Amino acid sequence: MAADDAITVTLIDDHPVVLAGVKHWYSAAGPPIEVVASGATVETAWTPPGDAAAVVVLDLQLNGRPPVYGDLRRLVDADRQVVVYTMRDDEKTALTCMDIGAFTFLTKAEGEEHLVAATVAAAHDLPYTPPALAGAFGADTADDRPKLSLREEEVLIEWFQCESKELVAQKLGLTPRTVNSYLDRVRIKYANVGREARTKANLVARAIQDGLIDVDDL
Amino acid sequence: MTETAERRRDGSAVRIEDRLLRGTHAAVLAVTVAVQFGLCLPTLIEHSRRYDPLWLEIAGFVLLAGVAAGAAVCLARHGRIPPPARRVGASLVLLAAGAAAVAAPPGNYLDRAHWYFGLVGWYGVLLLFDRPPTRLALFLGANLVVALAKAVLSGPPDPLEWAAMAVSVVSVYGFQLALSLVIQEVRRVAARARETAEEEERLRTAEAVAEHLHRDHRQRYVALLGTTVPLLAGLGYGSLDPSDPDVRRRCAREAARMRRLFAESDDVSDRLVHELRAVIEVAERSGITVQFAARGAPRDLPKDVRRELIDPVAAVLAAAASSARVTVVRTPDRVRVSVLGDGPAPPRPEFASRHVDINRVVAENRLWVEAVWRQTTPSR
Repeated sequence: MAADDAITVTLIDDHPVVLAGVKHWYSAAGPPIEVVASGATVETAWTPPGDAAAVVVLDLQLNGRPPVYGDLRRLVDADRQVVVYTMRDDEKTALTCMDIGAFTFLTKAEGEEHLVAATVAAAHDLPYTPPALAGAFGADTADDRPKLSLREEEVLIEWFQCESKELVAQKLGLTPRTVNSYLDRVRIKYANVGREARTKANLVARAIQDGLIDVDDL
Repeated sequence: MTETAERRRDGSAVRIEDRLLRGTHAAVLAVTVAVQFGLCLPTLIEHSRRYDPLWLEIAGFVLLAGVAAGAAVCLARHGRIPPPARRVGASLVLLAAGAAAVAAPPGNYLDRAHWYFGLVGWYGVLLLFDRPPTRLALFLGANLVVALAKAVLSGPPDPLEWAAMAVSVVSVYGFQLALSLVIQEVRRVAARARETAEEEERLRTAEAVAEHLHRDHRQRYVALLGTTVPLLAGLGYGSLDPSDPDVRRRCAREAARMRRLFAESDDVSDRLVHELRAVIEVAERSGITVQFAARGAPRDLPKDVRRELIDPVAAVLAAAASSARVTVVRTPDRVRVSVLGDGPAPPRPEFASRHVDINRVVAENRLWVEAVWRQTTPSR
């Protein structure tokens, strides 16, 4: 069984190598993360022990079929915290997942560092915007996109380009902490315009509580 | 074939054929009208007392004149007589011939009062202009039946008269049939003229394309002249050492530029990304792991802008030690191409930047260069 303080994860991916690799990353993570269930189909997240995990890591394309947006929606509606982890690297997919109410969107190219950090953030209801998702936010031209400041847009794109908050900070003359807070604010703004979901409620509530964003900003 | 070339073909080749046929058709119309009003009308007036009833004879004449007017309108509007108008016209002409024959004095068409006999043939040539001569022969035959009926009904002619009538038919209708054959020949010549013009047009287009390609090749050669050629010459004459890391970097960069120049002539929907991938491919072949990601909708950029956006990527990739990240972000008012490479920063490579802004950040043994193109008239 999971240790009391361990973060529990259900892992869904149709490639055994990916499952094995991700399990290995989690086992070596700083705060302990335990994979309580893993499998190639979404049923894994609905049946014990996978139904009780704090975080679901979901591959969007299972067994060569089209993206499982329907399954993602059902998980979100059941108040599950879903980290989308996919081969697809385009803004349309990323923004669709955000619309549905996924906690965050990660491409497989982004690897270990982001997956572990995103999982920890998901377990604590803290916003997490990896570079692929930041790029999608930055290039979003939809009419209903939340209103972002020029600085926020700039930070999103720089973060997408270099994947290093230190470099973004150096280029824009900010501290890495400020870079983080810009990224978090954008994520909260997106959560705020998204569907009613646990992610939205918790992220926004937590952000206001922490003073990251004002109610007026939303 | 492109739309422009198609239009141009319409403009020359087809027009040649069109003008030739329209001109011939108008000439036939002019002859018909001249025969009717210059020869037939005076005869009609001269023998007006002999017709019974006169109004029927005049009605036949007017009906024929009406067909000529209709044909003139069709030729002016469409350049030809459309098939339905042609059928109606031919029927009206035969009707007019019948009316004129009924009202004409007894006898046969050797009598000059039978003015309609030859004129109807001209109407046949006019109306059946676009049809093979056999149709005209049928039409003339029908007219001959009407004329013969008239002749036989008003008292069978004697053998001498029959012979004279036969000579007359051969000379009048024979001439008109011969004319129809000539028109067919004109049509063949016109078609050949069009084919020749089309062929010439095709050759001209092919030449223009070849010239364009040649100019393109020359421009690309010029683009390589300043950097690639000295490098190759240096390697060839031994003045540059292939084991020198700097020379290797230059080689990698030139290889990437050449690959990009080749990619420029490919026909793809997203040119910028296509050309970037070409450059990335070269880096990957030399062992660099390149992560590539693009955001935003593809858009058309001029070739010079694309070159300036991609050149820094080629330079940084050529200098990278093991890995790099290349990104493209397209927003409504900007296109940003960024490259982040590891390894020692090269001694500030110079980039041509007439159209783009270059930003450079050096940190932690990494070089980050971003090229930004701004839309001069922002679309939002």
